[in-house]
Amino acid sequence: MVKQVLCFLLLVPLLVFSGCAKPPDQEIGQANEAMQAAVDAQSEVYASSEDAMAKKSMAEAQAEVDAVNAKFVLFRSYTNAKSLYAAAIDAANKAKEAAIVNKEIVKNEATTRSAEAKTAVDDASKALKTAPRGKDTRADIEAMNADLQGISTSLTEIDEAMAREDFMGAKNKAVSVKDRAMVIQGDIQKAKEKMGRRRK
Amino acid sequence: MRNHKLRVWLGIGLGAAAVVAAAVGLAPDPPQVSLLASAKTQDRVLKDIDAAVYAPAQYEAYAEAVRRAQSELSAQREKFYYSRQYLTFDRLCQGALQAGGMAERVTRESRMDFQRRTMDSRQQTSDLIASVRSRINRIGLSNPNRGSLVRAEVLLREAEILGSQNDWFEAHDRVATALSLARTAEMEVQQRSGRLTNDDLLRVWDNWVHETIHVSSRAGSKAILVVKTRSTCLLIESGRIVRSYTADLGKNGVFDKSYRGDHATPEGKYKIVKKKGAGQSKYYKALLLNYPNEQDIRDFRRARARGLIIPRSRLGGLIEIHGDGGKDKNWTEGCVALDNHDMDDLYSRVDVGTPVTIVGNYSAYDRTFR
Repeated sequence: MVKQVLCFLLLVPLLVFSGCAKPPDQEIGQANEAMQAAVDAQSEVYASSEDAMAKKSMAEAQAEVDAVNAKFVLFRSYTNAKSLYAAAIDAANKAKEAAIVNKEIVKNEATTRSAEAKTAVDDASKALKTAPRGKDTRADIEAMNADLQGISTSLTEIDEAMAREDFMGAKNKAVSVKDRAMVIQGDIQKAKEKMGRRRK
Repeated sequence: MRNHKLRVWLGIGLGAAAVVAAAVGLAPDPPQVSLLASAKTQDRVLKDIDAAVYAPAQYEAYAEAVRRAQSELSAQREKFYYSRQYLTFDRLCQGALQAGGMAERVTRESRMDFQRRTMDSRQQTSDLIASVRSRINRIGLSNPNRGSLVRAEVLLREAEILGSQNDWFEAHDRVATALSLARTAEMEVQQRSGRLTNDDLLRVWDNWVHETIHVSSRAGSKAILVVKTRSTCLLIESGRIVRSYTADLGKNGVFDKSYRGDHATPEGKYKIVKKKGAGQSKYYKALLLNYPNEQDIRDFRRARARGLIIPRSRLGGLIEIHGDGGKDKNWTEGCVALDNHDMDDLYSRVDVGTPVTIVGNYSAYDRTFR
């Protein structure tokens, strides 16, 4: 009888502890790796809403693990935590994919705007080359050349931004340079018309 | 026997239930991990509004509070279950939430203030550029600083785009650079125009003007007076102004001519030595002056001897009052240009030998000529 009671008292805890849930270490590791991959793909910059969702999912999963860890060992169950970490891994993967796609889109846009800016500056240079040359136009042409020189410095800054993969920065600068180059083109055109009228 | 076994099992069951009840009853209150989760969630909001940039101290305080709470939770978990207590943890979580709230408030205020200052600075820079541009037609500006003005304008446009994207930190950076470039250009403009209000030079110029007017008055003769600050060419007869023409000067006209190619308009007392009619000048009509005079030659030699100009420099010449002006800017290589209608008028009124006085400024201009 005593043996039976002892067996009962030993067996039950053994069964309970052996079925005890273990923390989802594997899922946590996979989720951390997925989140790091998203960060490496610059998800914060290029996929900010997906990045925020992934971080929210991670935080929820971590909170669930914290809550379960705080319970008495017999009452712990990590089933919910595991599914939350699975959702976090999925969200992190989506953030990474979105970042890769969006970065490529921004890069293409920056490349296009950069080309437009260079074309605008080239067009202004060509327009200036065909301006009537003479002693009375020398000062005007020199001034406009100085303006074009100033804007060419800004073109270099676009290339530098592209080289360090600051595609948003490159795009913004390219738009600014193009706008300014168009104004200079307009000034050159007006000056050419004036020069032409004076020579008549 | 059977009753005995039943009593034993009942006793075991009750004992086990008592143990469980004791285990549950003595268990520590669970930690409020939801509070920690809420505190951590604040980080997303704080990162969105760039708290680390606009309120770095408050953001760091918040981050430290979260770390402390997390650390406390971990420390309690290390303990034997029945020794754990989470009061400190709960308090630290509340502290982290408060720190997060403070960081958010300070960030938003700081961000708005930063935005306002950036916009004010952008306007100030834009106004400065406009002011410089309004003066360089007459005062002139070196090519590098002209290029700098354009760069400043590109940076201001970039700042406008960044502002529309709510990236005020980067916008501020662009505006600061643009302002620096614009100020450098303005310094050059002030340096150039500053000479025209120099007291010593003013005394000399005032004397020249008085002498010119006095001689014209005494002899009842004509004289031409060019005042650079006013971009004006005046015809004086018997000491009185009879005509006033707008004059374009040399590209560096604010300076006194030192050497050939400096694009400055000379200052001094000259006279007309030749009249060139239509077809005789590439600038419609022209009145050739006797530049350089004796004083100009002495000044040139002295400047070269002192190393103020390079030894290869040559003294300029062929300074005229000619036509094809009226461009509302200083563009010549040193001559004084009038529009053709004014040139016709002046040409018809003067002769070879008519005195021509060119000054940078005249302190009694308004009193005398208006």
